[in-house]
Amino acid sequence: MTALLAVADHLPPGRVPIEELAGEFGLTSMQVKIFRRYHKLGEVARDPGGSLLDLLRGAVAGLDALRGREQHVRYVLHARTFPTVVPYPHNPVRELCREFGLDRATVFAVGHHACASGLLAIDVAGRLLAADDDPDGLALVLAGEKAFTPEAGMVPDTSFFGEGASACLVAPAGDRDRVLSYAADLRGEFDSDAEEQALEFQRIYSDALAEAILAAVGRAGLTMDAIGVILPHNVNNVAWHQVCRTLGYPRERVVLDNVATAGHVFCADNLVNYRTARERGLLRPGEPYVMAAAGAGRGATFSAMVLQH
Amino acid sequence: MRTFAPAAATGAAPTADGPSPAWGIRRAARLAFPQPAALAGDPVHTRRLRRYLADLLHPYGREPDPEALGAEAVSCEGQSYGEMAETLIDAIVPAGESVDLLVLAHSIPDITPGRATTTYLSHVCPGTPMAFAVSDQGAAGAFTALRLVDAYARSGGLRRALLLVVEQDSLPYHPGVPVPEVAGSRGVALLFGEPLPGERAARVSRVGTHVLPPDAPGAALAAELGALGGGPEPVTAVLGGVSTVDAAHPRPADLRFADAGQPGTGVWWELAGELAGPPAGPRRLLLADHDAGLRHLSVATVDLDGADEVPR
Repeated sequence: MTALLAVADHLPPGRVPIEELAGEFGLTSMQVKIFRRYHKLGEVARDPGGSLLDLLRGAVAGLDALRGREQHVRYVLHARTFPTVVPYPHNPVRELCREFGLDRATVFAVGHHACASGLLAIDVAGRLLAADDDPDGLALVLAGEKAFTPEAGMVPDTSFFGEGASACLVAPAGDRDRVLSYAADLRGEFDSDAEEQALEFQRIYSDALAEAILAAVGRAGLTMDAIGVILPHNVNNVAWHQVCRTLGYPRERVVLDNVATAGHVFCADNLVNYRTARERGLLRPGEPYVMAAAGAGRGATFSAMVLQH
Repeated sequence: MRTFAPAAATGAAPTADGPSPAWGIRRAARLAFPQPAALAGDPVHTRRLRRYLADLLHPYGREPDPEALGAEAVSCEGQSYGEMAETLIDAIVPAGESVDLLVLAHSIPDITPGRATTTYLSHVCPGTPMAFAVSDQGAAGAFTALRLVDAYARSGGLRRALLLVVEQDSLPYHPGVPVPEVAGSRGVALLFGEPLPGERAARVSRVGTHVLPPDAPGAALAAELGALGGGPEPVTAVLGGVSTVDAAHPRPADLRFADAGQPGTGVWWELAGELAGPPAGPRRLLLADHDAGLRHLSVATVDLDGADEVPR
């Protein structure tokens, strides 16, 4: 059964208050106030002058469990919010593999679930490892991107992207953080720039994300009572408070600490919040928890994964 | 909504909830797309694409080709993989049938670099399948996608699967390094599932990508051919990215080279042609694609017309 052997993340030290982003995105001062006051967004992580390779390297450098296991890494996956993040055929992930001695791994990107692609990549990695039937085989799942263009800088009416990265060693079995289930709801009807579709997306957002969480929890044979904590994507607090109302789940058990201080770190949010949950002692041995994310990239995906710590 | 239990380590062996031994490729389609995408003529999209690519290229000291995508451009060249895939879906999914899984494999990006294309494809494909894309692996990406189709059929219960391999011939900026030239925009669709009465599915096995030492792929290719087992059925090798001098020794009786101008779809184009042809008796295909830049040798074995049932 797929398990997370180790998790690391990297948030660069640079921070930009959302007020400084208003001009770039054509926001009024009232819109910015709403983001800060109600959505609880404050500042976003930025690495000016740094590259995607720098972000990913920062995360992998913190993955102590990788040392000595490099030759067991069969796959390196980059989970993408945006399908194209570097000029073709440049491949910083392959450069990263050379730096860290991962020369036996095949390297590829997986995505098209927007910000929910990180959970997809964990599921994909687990299935490849299981098919290999090699108990020592490992996959390295990377996430994180640069906010290089306005489209990759802001989710309209919802959030601002922050720069950062996560790295996760996935094993075909283990008892550390075992995957119990995964659910994905693809909503291609939102592949549109039409205003009415954008409004409809906002209307169904919380319910659809709650349904994905319930589907994953149900598939794991559990109920929400058993879920110790939710590790969310960092879009904003309001959206998650609504999800909690729908689920009847205590909002204080959703790890929203990084929303105000880092922003929405693409597909890396869930694992950035994993680190925060570990630091706060929120993950208890044997207790199930949920990672959940919604991705909107002209088309929407609502996903959730249940794991057992 | 699709839900999944995690994969258990079962290797290639069939599991209780996995596909039957007859599961495989039921249908194939291959199409060329000589005309630009309809979206390429949209001035709003063209401005959006130009901004996206200008910002993407800027940190690398480059910019979009001013002739292809200048500041005043109201149209662009190239393909939308969404449009290509939609046409392939229409061509291959029989009326009244559904698909559980759609995997899109490509190497060169299309004119919608920020779009979650497969999410849209899930919406238009019968069955609202689970869908995702594999990219940034050169020619090996399609082989990885093929492995995932097999893996999700065995451990995820998604047996009715559609693999789409696409490539397009336009890149509106200088790549900065030598890249294989793409002669034309093409797409190949392979529909997997349990064969219906009267059908015989082609069995796929031994799919993998090997990272080679920095030398010619001949020895690795010869080893792959040698591992086929010397069965009684004829073997055809379809090679992509391999020059004549690198071709394997000993060679099979039937050796053919995929179109060098189609580095991403060449071998799949040949496979689709084989599958669409009239039954020619049990035979085995070895697909092999060598990506010299990445030093990948990807292989897959396809048994046609009951070749896997021939005693060996």
